[in-house]
Amino acid sequence: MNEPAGRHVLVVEDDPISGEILEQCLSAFGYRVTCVNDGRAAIEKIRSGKFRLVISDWEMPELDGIGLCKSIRERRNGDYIYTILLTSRSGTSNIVQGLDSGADDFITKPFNQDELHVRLRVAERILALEGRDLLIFSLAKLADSRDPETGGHLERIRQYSRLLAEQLSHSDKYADVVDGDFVQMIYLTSPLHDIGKVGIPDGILKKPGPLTPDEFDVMKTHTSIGGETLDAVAQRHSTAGFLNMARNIAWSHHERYDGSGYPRGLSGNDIPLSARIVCLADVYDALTSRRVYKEAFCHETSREIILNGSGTHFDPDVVKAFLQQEAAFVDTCKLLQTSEASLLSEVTEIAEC
Amino acid sequence: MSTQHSNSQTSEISACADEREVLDRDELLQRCLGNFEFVERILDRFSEDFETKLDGIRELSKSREVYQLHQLAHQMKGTAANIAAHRIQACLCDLERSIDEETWDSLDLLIDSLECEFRGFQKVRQTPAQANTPSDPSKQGVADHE
Repeated sequence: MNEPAGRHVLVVEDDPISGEILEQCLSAFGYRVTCVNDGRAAIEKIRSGKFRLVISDWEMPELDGIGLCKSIRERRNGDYIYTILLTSRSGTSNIVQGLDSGADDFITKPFNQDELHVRLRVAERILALEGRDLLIFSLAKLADSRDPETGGHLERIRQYSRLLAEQLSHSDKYADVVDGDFVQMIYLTSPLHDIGKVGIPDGILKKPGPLTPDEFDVMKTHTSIGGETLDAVAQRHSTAGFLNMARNIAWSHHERYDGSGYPRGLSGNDIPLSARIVCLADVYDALTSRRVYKEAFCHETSREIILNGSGTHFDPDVVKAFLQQEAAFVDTCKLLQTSEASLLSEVTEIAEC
Repeated sequence: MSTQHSNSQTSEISACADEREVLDRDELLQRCLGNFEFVERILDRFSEDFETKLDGIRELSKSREVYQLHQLAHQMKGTAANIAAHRIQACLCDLERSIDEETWDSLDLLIDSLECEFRGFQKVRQTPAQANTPSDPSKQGVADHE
């Protein structure tokens, strides 16, 4: 049931022998294969929602490979279908026509087994990337929908986190750890830091006044709810590295450098670097944003609070990165809070009309 | 190993090279990831189907059914390519071009050539599987997939 996207391949081939050779090869590569002999039958199969990867011949009776690719791209529902045209046609004009019809890749007959294998792995990688971005976006929006804070918070968090990670990537100490992938990954996964809030009762999450100690204890569990949930998903999908970073952030972004944070009281470098970064980004945004219980602090006051927390609340290296990116933080804060205010004003205006 | 070949060795290698033009078992075996039994089954099936399809080509040629003729020739060309029957594939390539250009005079000759190539294929097909050896060293490595 948890078959990764693209592991069940739909082969569309009107020649039974070519279809059988392809099926044998794909099965040996570990794919599950279903064969049909024309484009119309393929469309019916695709409607079942079971296929993300299609390998199709070009010339077939009824609906040919070009028509099939066009039909696939015209679908308004369902997941993205990665399509490979496998044909004895070659030459630039045929390749252009094939790709223009909506095919993602083009392989000429007779196929080479090694080339076919690597191209299938490319297809799987692309499908997995699409799934990753959609998953992150959906989960972040889910958390966002239950949070009384504004949606702009998520956008600011990811921008602040990226600024900090980029700065750290320039230092000798972190150059081996923080590379371009890390920066991109923290940008993608940091909006998931509060995903565990979906498990907090409305009475506490949306309470306008201060929380009682018992209520605060419940609120604190959003870190372990988010962390454990993402951990369970990460264990079932070990190749999806982004889930590990998302889990670390969700679980540990309220840990403090001196060990006085929650939920596990981790300290120093036992706190994952991604979480140490998001911790500062989250606090800076909380300080500079207006809440029902407080006005927004100016940058200078927020800066002072963060500097006072260096080595206790925050990792001193991350604080140093913050100071080096101070101007960019101010610009990002102004830009995103201004655009959020404009949007809010526009929505209010529409509502009043 | 000496790079010099005797006359008999040279002609043997040449014959093997010719046979690989007719049917390259090594290429087909690699495509089927070293599954020898599967290869034999596919070759049996190709041999069984080909004569029926050749009859179909003749019939469609007589009735000048260009679209269906093209479809059938194209499909046979794809099959021949996949099973590494290169001479049949080349002949079908010429046949397909002739159909597209509707040069009916040359079509009959090409169909006869195709039948002749198929007889040659059957002959090579009947020889033991080792007949393709010595094979191109660049085409070794099937066992790696098993």
